[in-house]
Amino acid sequence: MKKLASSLLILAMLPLWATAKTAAAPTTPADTSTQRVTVPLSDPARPGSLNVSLIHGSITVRGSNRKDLLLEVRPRELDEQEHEEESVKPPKTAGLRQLSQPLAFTVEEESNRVEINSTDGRRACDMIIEVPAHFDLNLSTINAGEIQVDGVDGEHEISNVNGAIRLMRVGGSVVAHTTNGAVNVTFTRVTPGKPMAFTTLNGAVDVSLPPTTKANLRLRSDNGQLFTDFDLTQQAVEMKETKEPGGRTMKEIGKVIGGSINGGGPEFELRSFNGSVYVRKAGS
Amino acid sequence: MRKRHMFAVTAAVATFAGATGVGIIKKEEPVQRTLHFTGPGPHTLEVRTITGNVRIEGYDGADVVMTATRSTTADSAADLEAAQRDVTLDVADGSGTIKAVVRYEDGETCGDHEHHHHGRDWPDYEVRYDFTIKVPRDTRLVVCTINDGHVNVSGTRADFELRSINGPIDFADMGGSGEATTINGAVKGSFSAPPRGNSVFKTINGSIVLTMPASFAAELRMKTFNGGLYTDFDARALTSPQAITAERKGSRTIYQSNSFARVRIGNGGPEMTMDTLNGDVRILRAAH
Repeated sequence: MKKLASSLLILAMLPLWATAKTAAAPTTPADTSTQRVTVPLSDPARPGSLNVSLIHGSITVRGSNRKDLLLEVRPRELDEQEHEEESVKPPKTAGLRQLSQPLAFTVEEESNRVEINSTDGRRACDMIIEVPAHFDLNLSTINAGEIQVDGVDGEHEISNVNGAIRLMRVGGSVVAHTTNGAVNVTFTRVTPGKPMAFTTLNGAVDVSLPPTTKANLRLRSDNGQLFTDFDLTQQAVEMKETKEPGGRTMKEIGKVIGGSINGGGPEFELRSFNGSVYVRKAGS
Repeated sequence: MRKRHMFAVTAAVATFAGATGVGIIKKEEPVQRTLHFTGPGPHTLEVRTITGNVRIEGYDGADVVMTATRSTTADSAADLEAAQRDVTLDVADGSGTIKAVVRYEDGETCGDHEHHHHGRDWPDYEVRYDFTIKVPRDTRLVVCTINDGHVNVSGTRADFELRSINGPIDFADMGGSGEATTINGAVKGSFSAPPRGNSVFKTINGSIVLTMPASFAAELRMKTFNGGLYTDFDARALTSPQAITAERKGSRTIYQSNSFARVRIGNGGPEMTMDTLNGDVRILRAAH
């Protein structure tokens, strides 16, 4: 029944897609710069992985029922402030218009591993990528954008510096770190036995786990609060012993709260310096 | 009208740079030649120099009128002598192609790719040739210079291939199509008639500014790294699904984006490529 409904939907969408395609070829008035590329996988039956590293820009990855990967790259224009800084004034001749430029990038595929690199280090861009629903993600950017993932199950390693990380309806395991921005993750499934980490310096850490997740949590917020609706069995405060020159032993009481949920499991680290930390039961 | 050959030494000026104590001898020699094409055409003028400017004007005559200045700077009289011996201007006419080629001792000239300066000692002299040449308007041009090489062309109607390395390329009132490429310098020019064939304008450090008649129609490919792309023509974006090409290397497949902005002017026409790294690209409508 469910399958029937989806194929009907596809049938209904087909004519729309067809008209859109004819309208787009060969000339469109505005968009000179968006580029799209479809990347087939060497073995579509097996899971794959995606590696994206940007310097300026956002990365959005969506899980879908496709067997290949679709990349869309939208460059951003150098902003006016930047023009002023370099005293490059666009000429003010009447009727003169600026044309947008596509971005230089490369995509490499080898045995289901897909690697995307922007070869234009100065201009920011937004990369929007559709992948099969089971895919490992290794995504990193530095400036001018968030990293967003929706509906992808796999082993994920996400790194940002000046922007947030938002992972919605992800499965598997996640290591996510940013410096300036929130880390927001909701899980549909957690791979048992895999340690995870969700860390930022400036921003909240907010992670929703399936209610039955077994884990040992290590929570720390220097200038914020720690929240959870799990039954947290608090572990003994970790202490580090140091011997002073006088022979005295000092115990350092750390700032990490440790506790197990659902009987304990792999270690999940959730940490923010200037922001609160939330561990929620997903779907509640 | 007979061929005229005129070589004259007008000045040999010796000065001394007091601070370093190195003697610098300067010598300037004018060269003047009137050269003839034979055969029905198409006729080609080829000018190659290592150092110096090349200025070419189309005119309503049938001969090529070349004036040039050979300027030599040398550390000593012996170096000056070596310069006179080593650096020569080869001129050939009497066929469909007229050549004016400045060669070094080993025959090396601009545009040679076979031999580079492997372990070669730079001589203690510099010889530059600055050319001013009048050509029949339908003369095809091949121009090549490297250092301090400002290329300036105007008023021809045939195809052109203009190359410099360290210097700008300027052209005006052009009727043909072709290539203009340099590395350090702007590429600026105007056309009296839209280019008939595919054309390429390229630099690394400098803007590319082309002024086209109102009837201009073409497919443009444009790229810059530090700068903008501008036009006041009606430009429609060309979205081509084949723009990104896949290349197989063993088990890897590599997709390389096409970072050229592609637009169509008017109803399209020859492909015009404008490619710079540091500078703007401007395609302007001639004011009439």
